[in-house]
Amino acid sequence: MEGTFMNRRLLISFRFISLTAALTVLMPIFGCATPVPQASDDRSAPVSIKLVTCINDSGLLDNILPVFTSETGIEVDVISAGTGRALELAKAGDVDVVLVHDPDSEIQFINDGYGLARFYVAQNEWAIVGPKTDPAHVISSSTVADAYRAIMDSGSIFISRADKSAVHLLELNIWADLVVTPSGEWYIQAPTATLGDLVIMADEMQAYTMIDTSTFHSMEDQLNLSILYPQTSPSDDPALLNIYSIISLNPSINPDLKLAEANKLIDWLTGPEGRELITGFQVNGRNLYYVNPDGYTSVTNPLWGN
Amino acid sequence: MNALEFKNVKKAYNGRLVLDIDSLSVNIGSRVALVGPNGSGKTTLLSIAALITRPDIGDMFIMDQHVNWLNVESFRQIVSIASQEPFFFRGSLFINLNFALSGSGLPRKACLDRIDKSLSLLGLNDLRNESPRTFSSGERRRASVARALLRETPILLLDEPFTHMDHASASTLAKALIDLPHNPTIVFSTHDLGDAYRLADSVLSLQEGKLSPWTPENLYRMRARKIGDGFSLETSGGLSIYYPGELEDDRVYTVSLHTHEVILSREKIDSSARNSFSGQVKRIEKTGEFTVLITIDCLPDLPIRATLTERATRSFNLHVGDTVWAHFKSTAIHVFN
Amino acid sequence: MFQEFISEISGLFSTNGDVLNAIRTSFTVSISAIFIAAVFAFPLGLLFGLAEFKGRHILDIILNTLLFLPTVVVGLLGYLLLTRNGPLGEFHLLFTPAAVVFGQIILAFPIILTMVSNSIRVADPRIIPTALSQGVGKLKAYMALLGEIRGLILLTMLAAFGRVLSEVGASIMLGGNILGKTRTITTSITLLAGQGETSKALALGIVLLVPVFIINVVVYMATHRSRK
Repeated sequence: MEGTFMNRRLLISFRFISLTAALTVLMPIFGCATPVPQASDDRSAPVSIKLVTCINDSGLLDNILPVFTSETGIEVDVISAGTGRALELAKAGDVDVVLVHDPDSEIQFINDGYGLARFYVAQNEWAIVGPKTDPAHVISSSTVADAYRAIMDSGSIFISRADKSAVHLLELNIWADLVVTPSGEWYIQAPTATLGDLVIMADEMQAYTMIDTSTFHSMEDQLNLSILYPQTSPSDDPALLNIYSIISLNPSINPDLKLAEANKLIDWLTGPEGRELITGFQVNGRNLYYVNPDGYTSVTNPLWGN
Repeated sequence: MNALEFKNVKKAYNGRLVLDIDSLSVNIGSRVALVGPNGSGKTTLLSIAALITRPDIGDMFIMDQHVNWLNVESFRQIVSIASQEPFFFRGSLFINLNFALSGSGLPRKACLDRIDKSLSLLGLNDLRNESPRTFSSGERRRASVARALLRETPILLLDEPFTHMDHASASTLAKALIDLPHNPTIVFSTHDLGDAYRLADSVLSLQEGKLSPWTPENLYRMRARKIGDGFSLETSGGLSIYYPGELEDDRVYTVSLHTHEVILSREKIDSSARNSFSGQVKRIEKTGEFTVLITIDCLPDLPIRATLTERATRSFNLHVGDTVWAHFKSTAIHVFN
Repeated sequence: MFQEFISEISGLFSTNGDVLNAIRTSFTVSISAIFIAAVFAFPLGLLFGLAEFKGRHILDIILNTLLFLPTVVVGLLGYLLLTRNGPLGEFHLLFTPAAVVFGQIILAFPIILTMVSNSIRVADPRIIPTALSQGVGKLKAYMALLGEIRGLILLTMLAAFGRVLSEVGASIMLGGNILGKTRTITTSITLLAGQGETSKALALGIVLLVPVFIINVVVYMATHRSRK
């Protein structure tokens, strides 16, 4: 490459190349950027809405939402985040709909006026998983509290989610029922980014932890762990229920909210087609989610089972 | 019109005053040699004139226009400089020369012509496609001069252009500079007086940053006339000196006479020094530890200066206003270009 | 183990175009980011490199500190700027590729700025005066300066490119890892790792390195051939 920028030709061609490169590269990027949103009766452009959720770690939504898009023409951008951040994004108005699994926070969210209503989508269970050798004999426990006590007494390692999420609060409630405060070298507090990371850590350390059945089953073949409590799933223990709900947001918080499209998604997910696809979703030959046929109505009070 | 003028210009580096010029002016069209030993401030002076360095205080005028350092850029098209330690950009000599013309607005063909001319003039055709960073010191200086000539600016500054150049090349270059069709004002520096005379029609001497009127030689511009089997050199006032060598008839030369070669006497004497002139002592100034410079005003266009020892001056009892005779041999005369 | 890798890599490509999409997104986003950052950082770098002003040393220290900004912090800062109620919320860039470009510009900018200004400071001080004395004008003189240090400039861009191509924190925060739109190679790797798909994740990592390796070869040849 002889010469410097002083060679006029080289300078011109350099400028030209870099300008073209910049343009070709920028066009698609800024083409993707959402412009100031049009009213949703503009049918010519593909409409997209933003959904924030923690359920997509298993790949469920990536898998079933294309069907929704092909039927309605509405694209759903799925953003993954834990419950806390998901609700924060919803409050800030950065998303159009939110799908989480923390009923207490969700109710608070609606009572504070950010959400209009919550709708049941699917469920699974929290379970205690641990090493296949089960040194604490959790498998012979009859209640989850017994299982916890067995783990603590045996001094086996237990990994706590430790991030004030629903499962963490569930765990703390169980310890409270036993009137103990867990501490010591066996009790590890590891607020991992995702539940998947949590069970990987448990696998590495051959430790006990609480995990939802969907996450566990989707990764089961890579793990050297088993579900030790409850022995059958779904169990009858209502405390272990992990319910995923989708929440429609309040348009007065966010005037740009695409409420009509979000409602379409909610209807579809909670409707027969959505439910069929959810229950049919498999990873490694296992169905991960269960949809309770009774849990389909909009619920704004905390009592289930209506 | 003055091409270049300095008023009370001073420049210091690291607390040391390297240039201290009360007043300097260069006529348009003239060719001025700046002589002085190393470290006397020649490069600094040229650098300021080339608008590369800013003086600490003082005013500079180019073409009678005050250089206000905010409007510097407008003078760039008027001044070019060939530096002693020239910087070249990456790439071949051709590319460097091309770059130098890139701000001139000339069409491509004209640029190429000028580059070719410059290269030929400085004997650099073979090195056209080589990188100046690989050149020898002499080649770099020639390349620097070639570069400075390209824009045919009205003022041309050359820092030691003849140093490290052999006699023949130096003569060729000097002749070419004199013959430049656009007649630029040339200011160039040298520490060798012989080089100065190749090109200059006046000489400025720089000593420790200050302009000094003292040059070690008397310098005159004289016209040659053929007389018999020799030549006489005549001043415009009609004085003539016999010169035994070979000259060109009716041509103007720079003639030098070293001040040490002038002998003074109270009376006219008959000696082997065949040139004798009488005049009044105009100045007596001490120029060194032991030497004194006497300026004799023989005739308005022929002031002769002679260097004497202090002792000789005292024992000779010389004072301003005294009438004396100055004698010198024809062999003491040196004629240039 | 090796066979597993090979099958993973070919498996990655044979499934839907997700991987190719992710590669395309990664490169498009990162290349845009460094060039846009360069548009601002080059002239500022020239300014810092050439000027002598009072606050220069403090500014140098601040800039050097910014080099160490963790990517997730940039993601958070970017989020605060781009969120709907934030100062740039009206542009609705959050969770689009433009948001990721935005975050990566913030990451690339201090790198390019400091390296350009340092390169200028160590460059031959005669470059600008020589160019100016030849009447080419200030703009051409600065371009000549950049041309003289172009090897360093190339390395600067490469360093910035490396930093943004491999980052995850800002991409996830600002892009949301949306399939088909803002899912880059690095965010895909994170997703796969979280799902326990370790060998797939590693395979994807290797896939990322191949075009990067090619770019480095090209840059090496370019810088080493112009040694004159």
